Amino acid sequence: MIKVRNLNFMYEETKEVIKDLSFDIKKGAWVSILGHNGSGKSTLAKVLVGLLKAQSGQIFIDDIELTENTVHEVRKKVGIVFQNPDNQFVGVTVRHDIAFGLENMKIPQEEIVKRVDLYARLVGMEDYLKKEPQQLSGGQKQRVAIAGALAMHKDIIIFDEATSMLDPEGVFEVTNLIRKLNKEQGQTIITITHDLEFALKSDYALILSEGVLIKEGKPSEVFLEEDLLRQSKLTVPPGLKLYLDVKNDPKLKEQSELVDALWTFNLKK
Amino acid sequence: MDIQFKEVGYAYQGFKKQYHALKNINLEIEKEGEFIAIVGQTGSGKSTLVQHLNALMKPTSGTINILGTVLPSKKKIKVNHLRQKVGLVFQFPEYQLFEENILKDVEFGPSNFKETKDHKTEYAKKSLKLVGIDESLYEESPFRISGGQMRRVAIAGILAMNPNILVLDEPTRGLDPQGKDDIMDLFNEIHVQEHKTIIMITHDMDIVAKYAKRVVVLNQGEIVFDGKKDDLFQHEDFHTFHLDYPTHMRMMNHLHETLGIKKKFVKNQDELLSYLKEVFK
Repeated sequence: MIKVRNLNFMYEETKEVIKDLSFDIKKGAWVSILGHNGSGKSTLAKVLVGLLKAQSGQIFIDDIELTENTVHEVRKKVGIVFQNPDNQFVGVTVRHDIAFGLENMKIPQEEIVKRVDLYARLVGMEDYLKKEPQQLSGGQKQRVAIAGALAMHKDIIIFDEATSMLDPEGVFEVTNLIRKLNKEQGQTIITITHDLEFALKSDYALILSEGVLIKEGKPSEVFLEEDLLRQSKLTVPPGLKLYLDVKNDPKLKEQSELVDALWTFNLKK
Repeated sequence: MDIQFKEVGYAYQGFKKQYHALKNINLEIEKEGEFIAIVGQTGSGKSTLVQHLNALMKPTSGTINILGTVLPSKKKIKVNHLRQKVGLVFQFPEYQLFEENILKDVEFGPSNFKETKDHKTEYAKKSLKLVGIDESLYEESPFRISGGQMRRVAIAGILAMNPNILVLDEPTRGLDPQGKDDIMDLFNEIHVQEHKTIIMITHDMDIVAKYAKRVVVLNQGEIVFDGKKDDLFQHEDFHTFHLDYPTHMRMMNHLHETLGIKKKFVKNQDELLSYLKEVFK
């Protein structure tokens, strides 16, 4: 369980990035945090893991308040995958990179080997374990970063635009993997994204605009408010757009089968 | 014909065997008026192909004629001028920004070519205006602006070389939906106003459907389709190309499968909506 209360953050004295933010995230949920570029969503991710310190407000992770004294304890529970894989590749090879976090956790060698093999396979990188980072594409480095974060078996994992460099097929694979781990292992997942299509698959959505939480709820309900999406500068993807067009058409909206079929189209992709 | 590939192949030596990244490529491109999407799975040879367009890579078999320069050449010839005529924007071009301020960064490209170096400031300012970077930002560091703005500055750096042909390797990757639309509208404007040929690698079939006129499909280093986009999406062998359909066509298929609505070729979302209005009259 994550509890955020009256959080405020600014980089410089005049520029507020997060304004009086309060929300809860339930254990085992998959929550999307949505917002346009510059809405404060990546900053929020860094504040949640204690990489940046908020000027005021409180964050509780499983009832532990995040402070300078508890930050190490909190980081044992929360993992994060950043947007740019180049800034987080620390190993000489893919194998070393996935193992890096596990070694820091002092996990026995045998177990490390097992987990590296397992998670490399789950992200489709099992044939690249001996490769060096410069031999990999951006998307492949993102897969490695995701495997490294998942291998640590943290209670909560934050993905900050972690699929931005993958091709559509890759995004689909990673989405399914996230969903599977969330369902089977009960990890709490937070995905930070501007992609409404991606967020549709999560259980709950928080929409940020200019550092303010402007809406929260189930994606299937929240995304129906086209004006709100426009206000938060989120672009409505084509699948959702047609669904909304049909729902707003006086004649077509009576066709409940059609409305349902367009909705399931958005969910299955 | 301004660019012509004749039976072009590109092979490289791996650890034990030879890999053929491109095989028997025949391709003709005009320097004006074309908007070509190059599509295909990861590893199909798209990036290798476009790097041949300005002589960054040279064919290991066959020949390419780029605006009168024939490659490979037996004699040692200069190919530098081709990099000015065919402007190549790499993936994530913002990673290549390096200067202390935005204007200097954009001036760097044109300062390298005799055709453009005397006008570098003029061309840089014109390009920055075109990509929507305000004059007040010229003296800013290119590392103190947003990711979307950084990409615009990087693209301005190529435009400032005043190329005849613009080649883009996944220009929208990593941008948010609004950023994607903005960047594509920018290229479309350049295409419409200056008639420059645009050649673009993309995975996004919605972008292909909206902007491209012609599509070249690569599969394992070979061209398996070269023609109009409408013909591609109605091609009976489409499933063998390992491509997605654009969203509006996938929706049509979904409605056909779930509700039994008769399939009809629609070019975009608006056509699909009017078709549905007709069906449910």
